[in-house]
Amino acid sequence: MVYVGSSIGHILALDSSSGARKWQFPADSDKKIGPIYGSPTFSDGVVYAGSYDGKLYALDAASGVPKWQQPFATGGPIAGGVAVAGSTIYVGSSDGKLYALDLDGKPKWPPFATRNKIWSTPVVTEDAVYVTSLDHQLYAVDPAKGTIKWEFEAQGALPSTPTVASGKVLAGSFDHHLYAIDASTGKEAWRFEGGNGFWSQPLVITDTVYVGGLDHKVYALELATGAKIWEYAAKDLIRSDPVNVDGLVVIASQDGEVVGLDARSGARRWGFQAKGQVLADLAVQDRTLFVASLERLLYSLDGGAGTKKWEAPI
Amino acid sequence: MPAEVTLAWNLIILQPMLNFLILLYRVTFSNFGVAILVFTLVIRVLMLPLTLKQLHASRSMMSLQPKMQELQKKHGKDREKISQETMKLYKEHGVNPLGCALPTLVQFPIWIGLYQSIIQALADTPEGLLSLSQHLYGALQTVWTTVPLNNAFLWLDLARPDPFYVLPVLVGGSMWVQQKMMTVPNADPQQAQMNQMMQTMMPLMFAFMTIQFSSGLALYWVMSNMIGITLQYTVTGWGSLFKPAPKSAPKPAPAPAAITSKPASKGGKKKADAKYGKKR
Repeated sequence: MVYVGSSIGHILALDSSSGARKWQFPADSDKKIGPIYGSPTFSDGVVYAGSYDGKLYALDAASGVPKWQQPFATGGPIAGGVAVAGSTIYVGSSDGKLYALDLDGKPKWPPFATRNKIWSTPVVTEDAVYVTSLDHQLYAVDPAKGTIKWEFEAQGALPSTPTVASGKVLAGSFDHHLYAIDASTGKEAWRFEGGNGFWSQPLVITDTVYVGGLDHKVYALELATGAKIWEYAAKDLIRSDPVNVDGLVVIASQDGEVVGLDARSGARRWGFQAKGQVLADLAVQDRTLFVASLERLLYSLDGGAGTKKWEAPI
Repeated sequence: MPAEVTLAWNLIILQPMLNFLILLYRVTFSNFGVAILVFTLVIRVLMLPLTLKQLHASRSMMSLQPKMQELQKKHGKDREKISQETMKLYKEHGVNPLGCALPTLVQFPIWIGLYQSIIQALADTPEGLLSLSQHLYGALQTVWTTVPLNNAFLWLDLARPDPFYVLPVLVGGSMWVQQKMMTVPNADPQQAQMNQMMQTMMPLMFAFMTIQFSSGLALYWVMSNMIGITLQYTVTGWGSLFKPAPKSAPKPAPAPAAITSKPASKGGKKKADAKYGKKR
C-alpha cells in the first residue's frame, strides 16, 4: 500500500503494485480537509498526516477510518510531515510550535514554542528531537520533557527537514547555506554555500551528503568536511527530498523532471518527465519510486531505470 | 505570456521593486505595513512628473469641456466637422489629447509591478516562499536573510483579508472621493448617468475585492488613493466633489458666459478653469 496526501485535501491509500485506490479520507469526495504538504507517515497500522487546515489526522491504515474522535488541532497550518518514535507523535505547525502527542492524540508535554513557522518534519533520535523553524533556529529538544537542549542560529530561515548522520545534524537554510551542526553540542562543524537557499532534506549515503538547492543544482558533499565532490544542474529549483535507489540518487525538480544520478560521479543515468510541478518528497519501496505531481497524479517508477509502472489520479 | 516576456518583465520591473520593498522592510524596523506605505509613497514620488503631466493635461481638457459641448451643439451630427473643430480648439489652447493617456500608459506597468511585488513579498504559503526565492538578488545578503517577512500590522495579518472590514470601507471611500473629484460635469444626460454609475460601481467593486484579498494589497490601495486625492487637490482643487450629482439630467447645462464660438480669450479660459474648481 502507498499513502499519499493531495493538494486538494484528501488522504488516499493506493495499491502500490497497481495504483488502484483502496480508500480515501474524507470518504465523501465532496468533503475536503486542507491541502496536505508533508508525506503521510505509517506506523503500527496507523497513517498520520498533518493538513494545512491545522489538524493532525490519525487514520486506520487498512480502512481510512479516523482513529481519534477528533483530529488534533494545532494553532496554525501544518506544512511539514509527522514523526513517530515509540509511543510519541511529533508534529510542527505554522503557529511556531512543536507538539508531542501520545498515540491517542493527547499532548505529552506543553508545546515547544519557536518564534516563527515550523514547515519541516521533526527528526527524532534517542537523545533529541531536532526541529527547524523559519525563525532561523535549529532546535534540539529533549524528547521526554520538551525542554530545549541547545539551539543553533543560522543567518536565514530554516525551512528544510534536518538529517542526522555520524553525529551531525544537517539542515538547509534560505541564507544559501547547508549547515552541519554537532548533534550533541549545537556547534557548527561546517557550512556549504550554494547559489540560493536549500529547502530539500539532505540525504546521506555512507560518507557523502546529497542535497538539492533552490539554485536548481544537486550537490554531493563530503560529510566530514562539506567539501564539494560534484554538482548536477537541473532545469528548475529543487524542493523535494532526494532518495537512494541502489546507488542512484533520485531527485525531482519543480518542473516535474525526475532524474537518477550516479551517487559517485553525478552522471545522469535516467530521466522521467512528470505532468505538472513536483514539490512533494519522493518515496521509495523495494526499488519502486513514487512521485506525486501538482497535476494530482501519482507516478510509480522503476527506480533503477526510471520507467513508468503506472500513474493514478490523486 | 511568452517565457521571454515574463523573464524580461521579472528582470526589469518585478525584481528591482520586490528587492527594494524587502530592503524597505528592514529599514522600517521589520514592519511590513509601514514598508508598504513607504514603498507606495516612494513609487508615487518617482512617478510624480508623469502624474502631474497627466493631471495638468486632464485639467486643460476639463476646462475645454464647455467649448466642446458648444461645438457639438453647433455642428449637430457632423462628426467630421466636430472632429476638425475639436482639434483646432486643442491646438489653440495648446492641449495635447494624448497628454492624459500617455503618462497613464507609462505608469501602468509600474502599477502592475508594485501590485505583484506586494503579493510576492507577502509569501504566506510554501509555494509563495519558493516563488519568492527565485526573485531575490543573490548579491543582497540582507534580502535573503530577511524572508519570510512578518505580516502582522496593527490588527491585521497582511496576508489575509481585514477581519473587521475597516480597509474595504477605506478603499471604497477613498476611491469614490478621488473619482468624484476627477469627474467632468457632462451635459449629455446619458454620459452623466454613465459617469454616476461608474462613480458608484468602481468603489463598490474594489471594496468587495478588498473583502477577499490580502489586507497588504488593501493598504496599498488606500495609500495610493490618498496620494492621488492629495495630488488631484493640488492641481485641480476639490473638482466635482462637493457638487451635488444631478437627480436627472434631461436638460443640457447652460453654456458659461465666457464661451463663444470665437477662440477663447485668456480671461475666458480662466473662467472655464474656475468653473471646474481649479485651485490657484
